[in-house]
Formats: sequence, C-alpha cells, structure tokens
Amino acid sequence: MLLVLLGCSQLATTPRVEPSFVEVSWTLASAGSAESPLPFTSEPFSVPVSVRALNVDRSPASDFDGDLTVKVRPGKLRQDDVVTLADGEWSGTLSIANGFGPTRLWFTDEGDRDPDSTRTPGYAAGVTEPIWFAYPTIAELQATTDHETNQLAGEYAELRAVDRQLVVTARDAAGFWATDVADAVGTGNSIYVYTFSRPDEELAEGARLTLLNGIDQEYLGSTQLSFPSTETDGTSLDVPQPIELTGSAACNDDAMELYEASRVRATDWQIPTGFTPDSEDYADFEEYGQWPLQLGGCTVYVESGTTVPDFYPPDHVGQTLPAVEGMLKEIYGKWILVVVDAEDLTPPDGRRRTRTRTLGRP
Amino acid sequence: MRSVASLASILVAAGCMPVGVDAQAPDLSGQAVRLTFLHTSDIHSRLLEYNFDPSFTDNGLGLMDDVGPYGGIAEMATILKRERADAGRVLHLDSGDCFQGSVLFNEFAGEAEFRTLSMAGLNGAVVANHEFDMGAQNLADQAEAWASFPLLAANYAFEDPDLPWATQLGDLVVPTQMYDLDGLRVGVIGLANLSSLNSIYDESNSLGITVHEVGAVIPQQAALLKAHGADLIVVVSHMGLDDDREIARAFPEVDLILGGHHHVALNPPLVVTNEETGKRIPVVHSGAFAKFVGRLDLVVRDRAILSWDYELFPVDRNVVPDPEIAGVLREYEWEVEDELNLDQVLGYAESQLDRYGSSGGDSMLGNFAAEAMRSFPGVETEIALTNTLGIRSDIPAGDITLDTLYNAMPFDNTITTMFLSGREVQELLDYVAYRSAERGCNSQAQVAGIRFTMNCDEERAEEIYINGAPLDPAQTYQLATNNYIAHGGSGFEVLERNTTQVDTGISIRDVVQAAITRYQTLPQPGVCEEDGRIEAFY
Repeated sequence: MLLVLLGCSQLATTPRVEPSFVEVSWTLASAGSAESPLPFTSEPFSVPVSVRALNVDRSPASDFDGDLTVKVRPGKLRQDDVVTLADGEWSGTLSIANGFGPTRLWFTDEGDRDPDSTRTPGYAAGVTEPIWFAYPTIAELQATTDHETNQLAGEYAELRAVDRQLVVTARDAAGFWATDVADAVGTGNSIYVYTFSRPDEELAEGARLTLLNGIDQEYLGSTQLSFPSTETDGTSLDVPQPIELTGSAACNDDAMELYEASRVRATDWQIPTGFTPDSEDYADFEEYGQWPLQLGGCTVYVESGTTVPDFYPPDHVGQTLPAVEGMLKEIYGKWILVVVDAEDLTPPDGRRRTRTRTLGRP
Repeated sequence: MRSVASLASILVAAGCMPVGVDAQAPDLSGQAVRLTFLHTSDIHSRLLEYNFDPSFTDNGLGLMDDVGPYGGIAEMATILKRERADAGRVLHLDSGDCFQGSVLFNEFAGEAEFRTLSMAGLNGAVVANHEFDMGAQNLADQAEAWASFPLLAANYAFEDPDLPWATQLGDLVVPTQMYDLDGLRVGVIGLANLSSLNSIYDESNSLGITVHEVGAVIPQQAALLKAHGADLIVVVSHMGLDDDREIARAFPEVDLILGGHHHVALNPPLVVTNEETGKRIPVVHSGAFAKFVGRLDLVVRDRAILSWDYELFPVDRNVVPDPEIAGVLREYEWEVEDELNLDQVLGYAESQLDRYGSSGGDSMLGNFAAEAMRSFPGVETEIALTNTLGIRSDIPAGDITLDTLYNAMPFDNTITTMFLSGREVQELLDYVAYRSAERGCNSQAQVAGIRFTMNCDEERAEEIYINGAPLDPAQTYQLATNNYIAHGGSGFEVLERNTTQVDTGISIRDVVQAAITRYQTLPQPGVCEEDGRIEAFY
C-alpha cells in the first residue's frame, strides 16, 4: 500500500505589490517553429516587443512607472538589460543573439535601477511566446575568434544532430569525442563530451548520434560538453581518417583550434633532445604525464601514460617516432595528443605497443 | 519543537487538506508568474566554515582560491535570507544528507544541522542515506526535537511495529508536501535514496523501511497532488543524478527535479526532454559541503514552466555570517572545544595531502590510511583495503589540526579484520576495478600490502602482488578493512559474506591521528606518497 498522506503549508509571501502581472508580446514577421526554426546566429537579432503591466484584477497598471529587468533564455541580450515603463507600458526593439530552441525574453519587476528609488518591487514577471532558433552545429558552436570560449559557454547546449552526421570517433575512461562529418575536415567540427565514467557500449566508435546535449564549458581551454544526454540510432558512420599534423600547423593556434577534438596524426616527429630532467617539459611530464614531440621547431605534447604505460618517453629522447595518433586537446595554449589506444603509438623500433605491460616503472 | 511535517500529516489525515482557492489569492489563470526555488544539498555537517583548496571545477562555478574559509550554515543563511527577500514566491528545499561530515555531527548527532537549517528558514528536505548514520531512532528524535520543516520520502514507508522508531518516523516523514504561494500551488514529492542505504535491503531490514517502487510512487503521488490543485509537481530527490535524469525522461507528471547525492553542482541545470510529452525538465543539483546555494527562477503559466534561470552563489569568506545562527553555532563550538580541543595541531602538511590519486590509482591519503590501519598494534595484518570515499576531503597544506582530520575522515568507522583466500582477494580487487570503471577509472579503494593493475577496460585486477610476491589463489591472507564495507557497504559482497570477521573496535580516524602524530611532517619519502601501488589502466 502506498502512503497517501499529504502535508500542506501555506507560506507567507511579501505583501502584494502592483503590478501583479506583466504581459509581453512581439511582432516578428516570423518567429520560426519547432519544425522550421530560424537559423542559429551569434549576430544581433532584433525583436520588436510590447510590454504591459497589469494589476491583480487584470486591469492595466497605468499608474506604474518603473523599471523591468530583461533577460533572454537561452541566449544573450545584446543591449541594456533594463526597460522603463511609463504609464504601465513600454514598446521598443530588443537585440538578442545565440538563442537556440524555444527562446523567450523575460521582463521582471526587480525594482528600479536608480539606487535612490524607494519603490518596492513586486517580482511580477512575463515572458514572450517562444522564438524558435535552430540548435547550433558543432562548428557553429566552436566558431569564435577567442580560443578560450565558444558561442554557448556556460549554457546547457543542445547541438544540431538529427539532420547532421555526428559520429563517435574515440572513447576514453571518462568520455568520448564526436565529429560532425557533414562538415569538412578541420572546420572546428569536433568536440569532447565528458561523461565522468566510461561511455555506454552504444557510444562505441563509429556510432551515429542523433541527440547530443550537455553543459557547455571551456575546460582548460578546450570546449567540452559535460553531463550529456545522448541518443544513437543504431547505425554507424565511417570514422574520419586522422588529420596529418604539419609542423607549421602546430605553430599556428588558429589552425590547431580548428582541429580541436579531432583525431590527428604526427608522423616522424621527434622527442626533443631538450627533454631532460632539468627541463620544464620534464617537470610537466612528471606532474601531468605529458611529453613533447617536435617537428620543424614546433611542439605538440602527448598523453599516453594510461593507455601505453610501458612506453617511457625519457628512454627515447632525441629519437623519431614513426607515428603517434591522438585526439587533440588544448590546455591553455598547449596542444596535446591524447593517445586512446596502445596501437596508436609506434615507438622508434617500429613495434606497435600491445596491452602487455610491466609493473615497477619508476 | 514539534515538527510541522507531523502536524501536517495529522491535519491531512483528519481531512484538513486545504482545497479551493484562498479568497485572498489572485487568479493566476492565463498569467505568467515567477517562482523562485532556493536549493541546498549534501551539506554534510559543514555548519562551520572550513579551509580547502577549491578545484578547477569549483573555480569555474565561482568558488575562487584564496577566499576561504568556505562553507558554513551561518553564511549560507545570509545568502538564503538575502535571496528570499529578493523574490516573491519562494521556497527553500534541501535534497538531503545534511548529516555526517564534521565533528559537530559526531558530537551532537544531527541536532545542530536540523536546528540551524530550521533557523535558516528551510521549507522542506528529503530524507537521505546519511541521515541514518546514527540510526533511525536518532533521526526520529532529532527531527522531532529540532526540525521545523517537513521531512519528505514518498518511496519509504516506516511500518514495522517491532521497531519503535518506525512508528515515530512514520508520523514525521511525509511523502509529499503542498505549498501554497500566493495562489500558486507547488506539490513536492520527496524521493529518498536507494543506492547507498544498504540497510534497507538487509534481510533483517534493520531500519524498518519498506521501499516503494518509484515507478508506482510518482504517478500516484502526483495525481494526488494535482487532485488537490497542484500547479506544478516538483521532485526533491536524493536518488542521484542518473536516476534524476531517468525520472525526468520517463514521468510526464514531473515538472522539475531538485536533486543531490552525487555532490555535483550543475550550472546551468541539465535539461531533460520527457519522452512522452516532449516537456523540457530542468534537473538541478547545487553541490555539496555548504560550498554553494542555488537559486532557480521559473516563469510559470497555467501549470507549465515556460522558462527558467539559475544562479549559484559561492559560500566564502566574503559572506557575512548570519548573527543569530552564528551565536547558536558558537555554543556548539565551545562544547566541542571543551571536550576535544579541535584546534590541537597533530602534525604539519608540507603540501596538500590528496585523497584522490593523480592518475586514478592510489592516493597520498589513501596509502597513508591503509598503511596506518594494517600496522596499528592489535591489528597487524598482511594487507589492508579501505574505500576511497571514506576519505571525504583533502588535507590542505599547513598545520594538520584535529578539526581538519575530522573533516577529512568524519565517519566513525572501525577496523574489521578477516581472512581471505587468494581467490577472494582476486574477487575483491576485481570488484574494485569494476566499481572504479564506472567512475572514470578512479580507484574506489585504497590499499596497503597490495600492488595491482586496475584494468578498467576489462573490469578486472591484474598482476596482483602481495607484499612483493605474486598473489597465490590457494593462500590465505589476513585483511584489515573498515567495518562499513565489511558489512557489504558500497557493494563489497565478497567481504560481507566472510565469516571470519572480527571488528576490532579500533577507530580508523584514531589510527590515522596516531600516525600523523608519529610522523609529524607529511609527506615523507615512502610515507603518505603516491607510489603506483594501484595503476589505473583503460
């Protein structure tokens, strides 16, 4: 038998202050729809809006002269976040950007901006009907000139997936990488998705994603989605071939940014002779497990400690490695290949590593 | 202080459920209104401010370095009262586990937690697993004496006539609560924890709890709330993030989930689309250890959430403590000081002593604790294993005080010894690998006398060495472990079924305290160092 007791509490709120309600409407020619959304845009998008304050009996609050705070959820407001109502009304055009999915403008009575105002806010709130914007593709999400951010950093991002070709390209113990192969190689079309624990089997390499959402954050300089929601349709897509990394690309942050989270390959790069116990790189290796590879004076770093633990980079200083493949991530301007499979690292003797390992490495 | 929850239940049972609309309440039909939730969770007895090094993730959420001490219920109360004053319709709900995590709980058994949360204006809290850490009777007594807010758990029923506290808790804990906020009716369903409360599945069911299926509870309780006029159905949960997401996905009745248990702070909240209705459900988790207070603003119209906005407030030294609560806390502090001298310096940490390993394997504090356990006079076993989560925080660089130690090792667990065959050691470590693989290949156990490779890919332990010799399946090994996992806690069934167990009664915290006192300065070569005894591999 289930319990059916029901507790009840009638809680006091602050004394009622008019206006009690805020009615909001826009006059857009097209606000899109769930089926046919407006394009995702980081450019300013104008929304003509009318706002009306109402009393608790629904009569116009025509004696209300005061500020309302404006927000756009989700998205960004591209202007001042306060409008001032006169005689209970305001109309004008607001500028927003980066909306995705059903996007609404909020107007809330949180009091007047003027610190000398003595008006008590009533916290009445109103929102527009939704304006439907498309979800961004991975490349649209990544399209910023500032490498340390992305278009939806700090948002719960929903990415365009079902009509795209999102494929899982690799997994590690705490997440997976995905690439939208509907876009050309090296266009910022890849992303890391942090799942905390090992991804489910359905997220195997090659799986096609039809849903990809998560908290969008810049983690140490790399874009990632965390706490994601995913769906696959049970089909597979070809995993893109690794991008061959050139020395000149490695010296060009803009170029590397477009490769972020893609599988890249460094062919015949050398562990520099300067990788000695007194070097900064060696200290980083001891602390973080990252070791350097150089070509033409440009450097990338490699993380291989948990996947190829029997390869000990200090034993190979000055040697050339025939091939290292890894998923590219950035840590504050430092580009790192994360080796996700032992076979992705070919040591100088040319013998691919296996999972046989030894203990006791210092 | 008589619990409101209990009173409410009695009133409802007597047919006192308020139905119909308060004559003074506005007609909200067709109009948008704002509703604010203040959310806390997993406070874990961090009623007094404390020092630690915020992580990169903490920094990203607004809890910055060098503005400690952090946490504290008096500081949280300042934020809660400030935000309450800056909202119209507002509810403060807590997702449980306010008990266990500092010396105040060890000494006052939850009184300080319930008392100060009541003073902070809490409107309701779900019952969580650590609320039972000093037994169900203690929970009942503390709630009855100090909680002015309802305790919620729709998926528990307390109905064992042979257990006196069951009747008491049956009165105190309600499945749901309706809140009338100036005409907006918010129906709240409490969902208590299932995954971490092994006692409810014991054969003896020593807590006297009958567990109800969430799949039956939610539709029934939501229907009841809606029949009584609920505009929104809110779940306050201690089920954990994965279950919260699944509930949002599967149950069309639910509009919002305020969750806890996994100690994560999500900013912004997750958004889960209900598979039946397409409704988008915010799933809010506001962190743990009194580090944050969450605020969720909703715009609601005609029983639907139209939009939301969330903010997470860090609790640091920039927050002025609420004077009334600070005064109450001082009384508790003085009493503890008299008894324990919490500020006594046990030793010195030259660097932060980490509870997690840098690459997912063994850790500084884990090695130190496990070594201390197996070598303590009267224990003296070949090997030791303890659960990583038994250590709750790092020990920051600087003086190691007794207070610091209590924060790092709050549990009053004791050392249990037992004999295991080599095969059982293999099974034990396989289980560690399996459990760790589910958690980012971060080892869920810490060991002494054992060296092994934790293959998260295959979910098994490989290359196991016992004090330098390969594991012999036919040999017998004596293990020291903690009594929590010895009883099957965290799923350690291979230990639970062992019939050679001896609970030494020796406190693990006391053993670690003695070791700190002995070494004085940590880490030292070979002591309190990460040495690769557990190599994580995936």
